[in-house]
Amino acid sequence: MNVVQHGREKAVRFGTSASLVGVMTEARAGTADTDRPAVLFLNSGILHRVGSCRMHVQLARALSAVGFHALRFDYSGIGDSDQRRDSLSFEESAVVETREAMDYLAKTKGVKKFILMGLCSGADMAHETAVADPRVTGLIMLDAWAYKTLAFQVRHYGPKLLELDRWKNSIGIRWRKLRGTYVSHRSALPRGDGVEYEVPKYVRVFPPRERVAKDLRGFVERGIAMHYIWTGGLVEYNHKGQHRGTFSHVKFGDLLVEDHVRDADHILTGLQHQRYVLHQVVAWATRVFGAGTASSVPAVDAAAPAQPPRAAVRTA
Amino acid sequence: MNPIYFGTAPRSLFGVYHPPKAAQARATGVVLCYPFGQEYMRAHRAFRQMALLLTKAGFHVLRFDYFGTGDSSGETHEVSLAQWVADAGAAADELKETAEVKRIAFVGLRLGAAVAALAASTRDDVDQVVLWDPAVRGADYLAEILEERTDSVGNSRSSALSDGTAGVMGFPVTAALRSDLAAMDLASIGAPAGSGRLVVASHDRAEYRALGQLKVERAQVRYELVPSEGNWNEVDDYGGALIPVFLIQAIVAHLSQEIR
Repeated sequence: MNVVQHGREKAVRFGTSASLVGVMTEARAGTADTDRPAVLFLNSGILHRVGSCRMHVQLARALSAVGFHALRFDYSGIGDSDQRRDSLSFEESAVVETREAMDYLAKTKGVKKFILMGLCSGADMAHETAVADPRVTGLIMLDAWAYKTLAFQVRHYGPKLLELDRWKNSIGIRWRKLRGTYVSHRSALPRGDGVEYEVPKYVRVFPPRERVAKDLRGFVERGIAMHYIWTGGLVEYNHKGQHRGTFSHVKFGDLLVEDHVRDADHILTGLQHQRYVLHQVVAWATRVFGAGTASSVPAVDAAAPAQPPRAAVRTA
Repeated sequence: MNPIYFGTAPRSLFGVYHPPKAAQARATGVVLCYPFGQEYMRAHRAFRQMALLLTKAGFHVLRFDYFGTGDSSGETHEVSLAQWVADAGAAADELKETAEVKRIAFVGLRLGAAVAALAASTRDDVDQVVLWDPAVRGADYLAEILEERTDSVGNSRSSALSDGTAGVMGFPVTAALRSDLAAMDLASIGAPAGSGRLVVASHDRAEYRALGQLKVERAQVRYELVPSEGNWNEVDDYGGALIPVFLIQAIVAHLSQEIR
């Protein structure tokens, strides 16, 4: 397996209301261009800046190799960043702090445009920041908000109607609920004195689709390039094309690339899924923003499948 | 708190240095050795909390990412146990140079405990080694992390590449690293002369007790059980962090008491 030849990495601190910690991966020597956008990686839940399964590190280095500056950083109160002293909600502070990260890169690298990348809550904050800041020119979204359509329902319920066990299970749960003997597996989170199990304070609520449609129309008018990938871990999404179908009145044209990695889990634990996403994102960024050719990232290209992997391979 | 890169490219390591916050700084610095894989993600918050408590007790602290992990240089398929042990030694040297401390204590969790013990065993400047829920036998640890898992909707969280690399909940473990780990046995690792060793456990497991009762030449060994719920070797979809407060306090109290 080859090693990606990326630019220098350095620890950085920035921010006004809180001291935020990040790692900058500079574009590989000789490939930087201030007209090319830089890539910002946003926290998913309370995972620190390296990202789920170290994906932010892998992506930052692969994008650096083809000419992008990349910055992964921690929002206030996450990872190594300090808590804020004001009373902004996470949704408010995340947008403010993403804009501060852009300001930092503009000041230190002269970059004028930005691509935001996020998984789950990171995608939500990327969307909100894109609405708020005209400097956003690209979005890489993993498991963004998704909305059930008729096509979703047909795919979701069609096969289940033919499964006898599902009918039996459903009737069994309803019967146990009626008798008061049903126990949900969701009540099994670890508890105990002296142990804190910290989970994100942010509760993910999908906004009304009319609001999202309005935002997406704005993105299209601004020419924001969008690469949206959904995994099999988000139950609200079940087929490629669902996003376009949901927002059929938005004239995405070539601005949107939509993909579905059906066998991947939400946090991309499959190594083959990580490689696929890495390859697709670098190829997309290279094509859309005119960076070096993706073939200059051999470790990504060599093993990446041309199509989404269909099944995870069990460990021997 | 100061995030830094130390060491020499292309093998530079990311670390966070925490200066003491007590009126009187201690002459021994503490190096924190993370566990591996999803356990590293799950423990990151706990390590930050522990570092902050140690600084309030007057310690200089450095927590760092091994080569090929976290923000450090390298890719996970390039790593070896020997490299990680060398990294822990480099972190100790960096802390001595940065903070001008004379002596070192290591605290390691799970696989990090093995790394800490191995790094300490070759040094003559170590006061204390804390082995927290240690991976005692590499073969057992491997069997545990390689166990098949699925997510809440049934997708597999195990994977494999054609070169023999196993995906352990999203982190590659090469055949070479598996071979390193299979040969590792904490019970056979010695301790620096005159040092102390604390085996601290969140659960009552025979292997922890046995390690805590093991007689180690020239070293004082102690065992402490601080019952805490939760399992390091788990993962969820939102990056939940495990922070066993009483256990962290026990480690800080132990180091504060044993080290001037």
